[in-house]
Amino acid sequence: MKQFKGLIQKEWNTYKKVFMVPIWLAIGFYALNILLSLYSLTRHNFVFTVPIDINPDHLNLGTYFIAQIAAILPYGLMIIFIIKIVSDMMNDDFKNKCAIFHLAQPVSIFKVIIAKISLVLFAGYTIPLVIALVNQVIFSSIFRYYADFQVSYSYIAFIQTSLIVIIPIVFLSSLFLMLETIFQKKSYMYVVGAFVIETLINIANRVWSLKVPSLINNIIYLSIGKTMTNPFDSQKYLFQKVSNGAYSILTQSIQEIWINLFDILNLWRLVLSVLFIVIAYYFYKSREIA
Amino acid sequence: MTNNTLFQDGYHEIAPAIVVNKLTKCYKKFKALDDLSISLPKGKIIGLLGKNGAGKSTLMRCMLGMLKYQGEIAIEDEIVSHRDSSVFENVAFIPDVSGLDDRLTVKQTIDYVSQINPKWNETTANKLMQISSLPLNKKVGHLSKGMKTKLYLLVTLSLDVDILLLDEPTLGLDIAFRKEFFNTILGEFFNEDKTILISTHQVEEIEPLLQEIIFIDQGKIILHADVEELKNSFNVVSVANDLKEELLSHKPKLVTKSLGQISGILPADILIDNAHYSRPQLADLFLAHVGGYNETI
Repeated sequence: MKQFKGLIQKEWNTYKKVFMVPIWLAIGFYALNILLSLYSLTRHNFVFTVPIDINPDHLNLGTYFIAQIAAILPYGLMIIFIIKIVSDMMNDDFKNKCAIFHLAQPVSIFKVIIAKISLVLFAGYTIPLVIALVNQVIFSSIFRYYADFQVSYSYIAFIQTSLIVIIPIVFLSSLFLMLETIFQKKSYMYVVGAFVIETLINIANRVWSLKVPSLINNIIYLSIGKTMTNPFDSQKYLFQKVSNGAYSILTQSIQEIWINLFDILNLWRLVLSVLFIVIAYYFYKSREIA
Repeated sequence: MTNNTLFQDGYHEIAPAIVVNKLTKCYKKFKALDDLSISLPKGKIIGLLGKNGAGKSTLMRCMLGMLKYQGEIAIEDEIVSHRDSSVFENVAFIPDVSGLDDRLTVKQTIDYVSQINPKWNETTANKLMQISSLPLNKKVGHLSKGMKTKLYLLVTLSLDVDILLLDEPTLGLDIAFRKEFFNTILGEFFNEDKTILISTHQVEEIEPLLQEIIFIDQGKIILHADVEELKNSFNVVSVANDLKEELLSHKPKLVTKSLGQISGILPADILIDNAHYSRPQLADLFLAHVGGYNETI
């Protein structure tokens, strides 16, 4: 456990600045908004108002969607940084010629990999969670001031989003951990490779009238498919839920999340995530320390 | 595999610390190590001497399982396989490059090793910290080369391990620091239970420390001998120029001319009248065995 803690601390000390970028961006976003609001208020006397004849159910539904977007954005942002962090974690020790120091210690490569992915998953989930929570508090407080909606919808959206992103984060982190370990310094190659394969599939499908499924579509589906509720596809369904009240949507949402967690797609994602980590381990272990 | 199957030279009576058997390592078409076999005894300071590209660093990195290789290596009876971290339970290593992590601070580096290496000795570390005067909050990347080596030495010598591999540890350091480095190694680390393998170009500086010497060239072991026995078995023979022909008739190695004299290295049992005899340095013996400038005239 002491070794594991040491490994985690080393990774955190090395990459904390990159992990914290989303927090600085969020602070920057709010600072900019405050400045713009103050400017609008003082120069143009602009005050945000909500039409008084709006249907309360529509208001609650709108709030629910906006809150969901406010919650999902930090996670989406974090995914970009996760790709950067896993790439650096798996390759920078070699680029900076310090792998010889880190790997000349009596600690198994498996433990090293698990420490790296554990930090990525923990920080990659917790940091956007904090930002999403702040978003919800600010969003719901401001909107509550202007409009009469049920604040609970905003928090339900936050809780719901924070739960459903867990497995996609695990999947994407593991996928990029594997890709960055395999391709090392030429990590752009997997993007090029995916597009080349996709083009070949398209050509083959057209020329020979085949029905080979799209690689990129499948990757996207495996990554985030069924994660977000599509407001356009299921608007009626959601509207019905919202009309039934906050308690109803909360209980239904939690039930859906639990059902989704044991969904075959999520099971696949978890199985593939484990497989990706194992592959990353073997590629990392097979590297020579020259 | 036991020592008996690996231990082939019959040179040492005590159980060896490291045994290498038929080791071959290729970088694409270049053969860095060529069917190399060697046995390093416990409780000795052993020098590894070779020209640039002779295979010194490759040999050490193979011993630690950092490189893939053909052949067999055992450290204290345990077979070393590629990237087997258990090797480092009883071995510490200082590489020829400053392999420390520039992104960490001195304190973070020390804390890191103390946490992940169970052989960390806090008492030794504190003692070394007191004499090293390292700036704890400074990033390793901002340290001078000498300070980085000091830090590497601190985190390595604070480990209670039996085997220490040093690959050109003082490369690029000034003479004062080099002396301090080797004094620290002797003072803080070495005792009769420990084994140190040092590769260096500045062999004259560590010559008094060495008990055994290995000459390596083109991936092969040219010689492995006890330093005293080796030095006793050769002489540097200097004669006046008029005795040149007699000296050359014995086919001396490393012949040099200076101020009306000519010198060469000859086996100790060859005696020439009116010659001056002196004890050879390891560098001379290395050049005599491996070949270098002025080896013949």
